[in-house]
Amino acid sequence: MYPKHTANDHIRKSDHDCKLAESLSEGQDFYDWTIICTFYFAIHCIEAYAHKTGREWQLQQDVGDEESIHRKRERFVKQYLSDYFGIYRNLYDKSRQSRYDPTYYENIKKLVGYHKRLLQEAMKLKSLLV
Amino acid sequence: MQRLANSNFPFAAFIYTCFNTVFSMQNSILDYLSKEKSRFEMLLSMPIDPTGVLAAVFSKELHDISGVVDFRVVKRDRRANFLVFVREPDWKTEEQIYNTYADLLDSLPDTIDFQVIELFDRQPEDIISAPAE
Repeated sequence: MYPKHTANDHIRKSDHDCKLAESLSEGQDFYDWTIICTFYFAIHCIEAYAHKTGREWQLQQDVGDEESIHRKRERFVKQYLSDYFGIYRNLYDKSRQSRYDPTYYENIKKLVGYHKRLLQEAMKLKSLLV
Repeated sequence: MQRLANSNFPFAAFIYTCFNTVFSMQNSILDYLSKEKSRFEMLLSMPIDPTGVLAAVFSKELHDISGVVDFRVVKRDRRANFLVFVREPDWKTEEQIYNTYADLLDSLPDTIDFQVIELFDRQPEDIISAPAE
């Protein structure tokens, strides 16, 4: 449980994560961390959008709530941001593999430019912050 | 008696017909209910597994996506993980998989997880046998 935040808090954090993702994507070895940062950038864009539209309560987890925060966010994206569902879920899966599969970063490295394309696709979420 | 009623007492004939109609309707309704009850009981007694039903639906939908190498359901305690295996990241395949997933998302209970995994040079067994995160 975190203190209450505003849309601007999430916008600033998304900007911070985006800068780090861009910086990492230029390096030679941090494909996995590019994906992880891009995923967190996406999360903060979605949170900012939820605040801006007064729907932030839909992304909060209550005591005794059986639905995980991930599933809540998924349903939220599907309902209100359906154009971004594919890229959000893709980032969710890939950041999960980047974090927990110790060989993933070596495999993803073989696909030249894939991490950059993920970042480019995720950048479209910035339009939610305007 | 019916003939008597028909000839001399038209009102009695009418009542007799009404009773007959009601009794025959009642019998048909009871017959119908007893048949449906047995069907309903049969349905309830069937070991229907919601995870299995969803897995069957997912499997059918994913079958037509050419980039999907395999689809497995791994159960741990009361949770189930639906794993979709692809050889390596591919935009078109992923778009199709996530569209399918989005369509079925509303039917998924929170105890069912879903994940797309790239195999690269590995086999599904290598992933499934790895310890849970």
